[in-house]
Amino acid sequence: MGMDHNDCANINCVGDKMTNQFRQRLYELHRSVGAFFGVMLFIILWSGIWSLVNHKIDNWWHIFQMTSEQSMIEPLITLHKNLFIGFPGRIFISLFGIALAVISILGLWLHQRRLKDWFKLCLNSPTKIVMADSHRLLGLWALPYLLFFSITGAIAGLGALGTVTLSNITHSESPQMVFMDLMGEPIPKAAGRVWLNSPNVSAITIQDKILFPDFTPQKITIHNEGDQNAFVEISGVTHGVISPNIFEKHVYALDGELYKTYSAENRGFWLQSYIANQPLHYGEYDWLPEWGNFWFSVHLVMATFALWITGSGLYLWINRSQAQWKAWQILCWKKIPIGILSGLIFASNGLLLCGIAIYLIDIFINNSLLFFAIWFITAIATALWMHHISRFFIILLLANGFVLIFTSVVHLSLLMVQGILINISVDIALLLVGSLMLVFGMRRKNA
Amino acid sequence: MFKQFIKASIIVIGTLLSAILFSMLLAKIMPSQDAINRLYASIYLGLIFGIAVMIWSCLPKEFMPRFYRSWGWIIMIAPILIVWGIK
Repeated sequence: MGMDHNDCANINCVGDKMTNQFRQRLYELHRSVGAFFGVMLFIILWSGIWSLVNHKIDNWWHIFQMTSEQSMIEPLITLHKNLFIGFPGRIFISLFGIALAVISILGLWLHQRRLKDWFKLCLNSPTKIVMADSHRLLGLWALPYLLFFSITGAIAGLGALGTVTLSNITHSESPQMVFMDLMGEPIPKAAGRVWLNSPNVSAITIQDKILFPDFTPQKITIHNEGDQNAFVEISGVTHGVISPNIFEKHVYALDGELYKTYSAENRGFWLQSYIANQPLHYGEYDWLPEWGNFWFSVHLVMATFALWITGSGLYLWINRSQAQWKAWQILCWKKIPIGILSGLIFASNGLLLCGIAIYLIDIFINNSLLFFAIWFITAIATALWMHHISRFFIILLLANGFVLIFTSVVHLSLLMVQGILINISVDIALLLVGSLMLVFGMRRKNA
Repeated sequence: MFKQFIKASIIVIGTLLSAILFSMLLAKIMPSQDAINRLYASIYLGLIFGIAVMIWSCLPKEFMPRFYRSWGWIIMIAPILIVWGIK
């Protein structure tokens, strides 16, 4: 996407194995596949970043969620998981992982032999050139993570589908056995006799800590409670084993004796890879107690880069192609995509305002309805105002900047009233991004 | 543009079918005693195969070479699957 037709034709390929014609073909492919899947990829990456952050900032949200256990940004999380259409949506989204992998590999192929592309970025250049340079530069440096996001994202949906369908081949005798193979043997059923004494959970927890010092417990469940066949299950994460807590479990009998342990460790390579998929995709680094926060930050930054790469790619494509476009092409390839994307950004920030409204005014707001309403209205407004697109973008930037600053200021005020200052890093991030939007919007307005 | 879209869809469908058949073949014939490990190996390798075939199929400029590259795998894999008796 970051290369013009003329640029491409002018490339000096003397001594290079790749011919101009082939490079041109790679460029066309990268450009058209990116243009076709770009809008959807942007939506997936944008909602993915919110899902990633939501996992870490539960406490930050909590102050706004006095009446509801549900997260305010639940619509964005569901959008990322399954597009609100359940399992088919999950499969559909995972196919975009393949598209992202294809686009990324084509991009690398296009620029692999041009070393200067790996370092070139002139921030003082016109917007179009900055976009092209940053698209290329970030794309090359973030490539391992782009592939990582695409493969783990694809496996998140296709893995589940493959487990169900291929079990007929690998477990032809009884396909249901695949789940027992995956999750381990189930807990024995209740005996039907009342227990004589309840389990000493605190003693079991202490014993577990001694037996498994590299294990961080996260959840304690009592199975068959009240029955003689009751079991205490401690699930959590084992340090150094990339596995979510549903696969890392220690089960104790009623008398405190260790009954069974479940772990992804020492299992087959491919099965371990599948088990590791969820924590890796969702940036859950609890299994790295010392470096977890660092790798989460890298994960978040790379996800933001991926979003920037997609956004800048779309920007380049829309700006470059419109000269030859007919009216319907402008509608389909410019107005609708810009409307959808700006609507999504505006609606996401609208959810922050919605959270404050619930807390301050104590009213019920259906966050999903609000989210889609703002998205739809902004998309329509963008399409109608497309002739004044620069003015529209200034309004959008100023409004988004205002929402982010307002939210963080209200949150900080509430924290100060309560006398606690926790999770202010989120507020600082919101203030920073909001201020940048306001400054950029004001500068564009004055220009 | 509509014709291009139809042609691209034919290539994508061919690639996806090829990847599915490849996964099924691996799930059946991969030499591993651990059935669950074989299952996930076939999913991962099938995905990587799908991505590779997708890129390889898109490279030619003409439609027919693209068609052969994406659908040709089915002609190769399907008979083997039938011989190995996939239900």
